[in-house]
Amino acid sequence: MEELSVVGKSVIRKDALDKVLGKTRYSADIKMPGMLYVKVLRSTVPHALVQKIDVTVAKALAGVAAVLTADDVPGLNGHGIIIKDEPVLVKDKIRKIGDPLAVVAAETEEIAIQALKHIVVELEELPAVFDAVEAMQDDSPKVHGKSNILAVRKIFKGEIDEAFAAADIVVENVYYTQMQEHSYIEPEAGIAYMDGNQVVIKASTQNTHFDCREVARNLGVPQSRIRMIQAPTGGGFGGKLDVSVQIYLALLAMKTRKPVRLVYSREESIIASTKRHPCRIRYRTAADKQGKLLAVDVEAIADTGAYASYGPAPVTRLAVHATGPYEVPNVRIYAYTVYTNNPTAGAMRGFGVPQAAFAYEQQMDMIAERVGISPLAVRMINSLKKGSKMATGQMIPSGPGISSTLLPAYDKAIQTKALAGYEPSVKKRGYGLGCMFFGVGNTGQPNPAGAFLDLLDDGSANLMVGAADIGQGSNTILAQIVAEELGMDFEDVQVTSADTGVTPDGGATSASRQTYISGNATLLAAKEVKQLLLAEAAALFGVAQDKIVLKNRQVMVVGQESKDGISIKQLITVCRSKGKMTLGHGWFNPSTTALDDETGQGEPYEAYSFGSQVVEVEVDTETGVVEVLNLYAAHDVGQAINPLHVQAQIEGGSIMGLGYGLYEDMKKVEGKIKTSSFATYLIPTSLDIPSIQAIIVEDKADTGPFGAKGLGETSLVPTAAAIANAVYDAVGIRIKSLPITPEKVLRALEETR
Amino acid sequence: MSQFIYKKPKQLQEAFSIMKENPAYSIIAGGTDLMVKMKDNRITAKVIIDVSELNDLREIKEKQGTIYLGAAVTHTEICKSELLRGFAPALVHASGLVGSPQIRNRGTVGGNIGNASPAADTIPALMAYGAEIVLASAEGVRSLALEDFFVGPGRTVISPGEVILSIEFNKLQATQAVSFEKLGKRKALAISVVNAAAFLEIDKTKAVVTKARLALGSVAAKPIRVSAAEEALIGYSLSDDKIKEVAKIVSDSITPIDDVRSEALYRKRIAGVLTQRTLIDAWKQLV
Ligand SMILES: Cc1cc2nc3c(=O)[nH]c(=O)nc-3n(C[C@H](O)[C@H](O)[C@H](O)COP(=O)(O)OP(=O)(O)OC[C@H]3O[C@@H](n4cnc5c(N)ncnc54)[C@H](O)[C@@H]3O)c2cc1C
Repeated sequence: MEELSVVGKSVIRKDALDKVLGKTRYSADIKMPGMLYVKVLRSTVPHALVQKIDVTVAKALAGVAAVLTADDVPGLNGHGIIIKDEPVLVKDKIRKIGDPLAVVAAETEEIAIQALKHIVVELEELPAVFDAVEAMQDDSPKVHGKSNILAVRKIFKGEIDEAFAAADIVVENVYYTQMQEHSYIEPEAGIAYMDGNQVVIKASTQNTHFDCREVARNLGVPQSRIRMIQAPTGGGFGGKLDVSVQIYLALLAMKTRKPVRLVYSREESIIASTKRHPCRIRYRTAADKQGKLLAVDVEAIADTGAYASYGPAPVTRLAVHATGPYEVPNVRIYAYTVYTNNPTAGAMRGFGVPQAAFAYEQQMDMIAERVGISPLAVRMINSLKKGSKMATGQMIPSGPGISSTLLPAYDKAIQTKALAGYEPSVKKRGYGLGCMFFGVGNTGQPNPAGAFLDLLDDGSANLMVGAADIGQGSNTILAQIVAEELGMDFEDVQVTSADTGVTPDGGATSASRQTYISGNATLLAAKEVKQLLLAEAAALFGVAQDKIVLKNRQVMVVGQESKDGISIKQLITVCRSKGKMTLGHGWFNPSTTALDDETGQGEPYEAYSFGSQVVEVEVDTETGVVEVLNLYAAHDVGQAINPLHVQAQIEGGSIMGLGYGLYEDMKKVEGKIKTSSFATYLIPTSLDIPSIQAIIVEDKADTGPFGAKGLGETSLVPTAAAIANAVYDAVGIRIKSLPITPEKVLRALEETR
Repeated sequence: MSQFIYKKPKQLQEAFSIMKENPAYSIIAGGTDLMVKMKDNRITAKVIIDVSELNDLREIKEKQGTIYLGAAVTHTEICKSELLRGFAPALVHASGLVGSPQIRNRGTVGGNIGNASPAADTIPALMAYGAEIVLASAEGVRSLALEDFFVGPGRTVISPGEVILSIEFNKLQATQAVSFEKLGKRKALAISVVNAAAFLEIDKTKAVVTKARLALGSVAAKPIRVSAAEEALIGYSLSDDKIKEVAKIVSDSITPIDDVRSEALYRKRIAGVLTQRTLIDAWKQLV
């Protein structure tokens, strides 16, 4: 293959300089003259019938411009990514603490806060349910309709009962995972104003086109009357896929005809936003004497809280990935998405798979121990690889599976171990492995993205993509793809992203999909422009099109590179002289098939990323404190479009996985969050981060742009599981619930003493 | 946060008169505790008096074997002080474990005490040093043992019109040592689940303990001393058995609570472990 010029290079990201200089204007930094301040009145009880919301006094306060309740929503009073079960403003039933009851716009924030205090809410509290397993019972309080079971994902393959009956080894355990907060650095915020008859909204978001559809439906106006623009976004991790401030802002901008602004405090963000699903996973594995997997039987119950949000989708992804990156001939999976009166769970980096990994990776170690082989060996003999069949019956399309990541990560860990001088004391050390695979894009659903490319007269280009860059770097990656394909410099490509007024739909920045899907769309747009250029150049030089090369802003004939060619700019001038525009567009939708409702069989993803991590921990046997000393993370990304970005994603994801493994726990009592600030909800600080060795592996995907696959989520998936395995290696205790706190470790150690 | 008037007196006397004129005042030093409470309206003072640059509160000095530590000295300054590094290393250690660099740059020892959190890190260390707290008002000064200053979480015996002027304690002798340990849930920005400090004085010839102070935080409504455990040390050398016995006395005599940061039972265990560790460390410094 020809050598790449821009792809594969760690060019400096487009947004870096402004961000480090503090010049980037996030939503909360945008001020407009005459702007009103918005506040939301939220429920403080988890389950109740609303009898009356009286806003007369609040409305009459000096400085209050508008107070809206459910009756003021002109269109559908419902939103939600999969089903519209969440009210914009509650009309009759409160289902969780934090449910919005009214919104106020006022001249100052203080007045808006005062106005909230003058809204009188009369309600009748209802019995509530806070445990997903209880919620599944017939006699439990119902959150919506007649059953709290929102969805069941089933996957059946082979003959499960026979496989268990014939197995030499059966390992069965129940695992619990906690509710995790996204902890993006920027809480939700936005501003909206009228531009003629169009409502313009600028907000922190992961998907402008989805937001636009929601807002238009709620306002009862055509989508074209809403212009949704993504403001620079300080992280999302799945938590900004749901709408937050957008609908309130649009309603109030329409109502008051003034600019309106809403910025959540951290506490409001934590109370109102979605979280990672807490799960109970019952996991049964069968293997033969050699450690070869025969069957897995899994029941996962995920608490989705009061509303569906993305709910069933991460739970489906959990089910599809429940076997781990291993070939299992017989599979039975039931994965339930269950409503409760808890805070809503939705999408979060990893999308159900970290929960599954915490279970399947501990199962693998237990099998290895029962067989008497190493954790490495049990994984190698069971690994999925090109041609092997997953639980859904799909054949893995390419690559060697986990071996290309597991072996380098393992080798690095072993080399370092040999160097480390360590004396066992009350502190004991151990190693743990965690492996994963991850399908790129939405699960068995169409999820296209588009791109527009306009090559300008001077040889620079405007790329317009729907993909929201939420800090992961898609604007940079997509510009690299254009520059590579058209022989331009990276700096020549300007990217406008996530603005429904000018960009095509890019779908969500989630599911590790933008590099792959918007990347492919961008590449197609560039190819369309390239085709125009090649045709012109071929005519100009009198050679066949395949003899033309675009490189270093030059147009050259193959074999005559030393001769003076012409610049791309000159070629564009030739096009213009003939009245030809150099425009391109592209859209891409990965080919997948929907999972069968009854059997879960299907081809849910087009490409799969694999990864492996090895962690070294030290456990203080007197205090139960676990410290991760070293983390070796090898991830297969197909082609690293920008290796520095890849490294940053691997580091960032595994740090989030470390937080998931050791620290983070959204504690709640009767639906009320007890850890609503970063003083009590602990995420790792810079001092808690071990030395991380990121190892980039490139098993190219034929279907990806330049062979690239997704990686945004992958590095979070195996970390907590690897830590759990390392704790076992160090001190011989199995912690089957997350996070692995000192309290749990010490209790387990005392039980074994 | 409600509106307030901000005053920054240059002289202590000026501070006293502002207090007299505005009874609904709050004192601010670094503000790392106060601002948090003001932000969620747990404190709604009309006048905020900034004492962070009053000269009388800014000194660290030694006079005739006594160390004077001004209330408005920051944790970072404590960590950098040659005098304290030499003669109060356990306090330096405790201050160095407070919050993060940003918090240590602003937060003061007087604020740590004035806030009266049961989890405050410098308090057990200072109690182990046998510190006295000096309070000043327009009427004059008074001093009392640090452990007598606290009433409960956020509550002290300070009277209206008084400021914390300084903390005073004796320089350690060659026969004395103090050790401090903290267990938090992460390496920075972690409020102590339990913290503990031990003071030992020994008779070098007999290698036995002649005096002991054991102070713990986050195990009761205020920082405490455990006198039963202290007494059990007197006249003994620090054998493994003795350490275990004393740790058990500490563990058994406290009644901590379950809260969002940890569990009562775990705190009991950790109080024992940190007692052991501080005792061993203090002993090692002496023998
Ligand atoms: C993120 C964060 C992390 C933290 N981590 C820790 C930690 O690890 N360990 C720990 O112990 N603390 C911690 N704290 C608490 C705090 O930083 C310390 O208690 C600090 O020492 C307080 O000092 P200050 O000067 O900021 O106090 P201020 O907030 O200014 O005052 C605190 C209280 O003391 C009173 N006060 C202050 N000075 C005087 C005076 N001279 N006379 C009379 N009253 C006075 C004030 O009126 C107020 O009631 C943390 C705080 C934050 C925000």
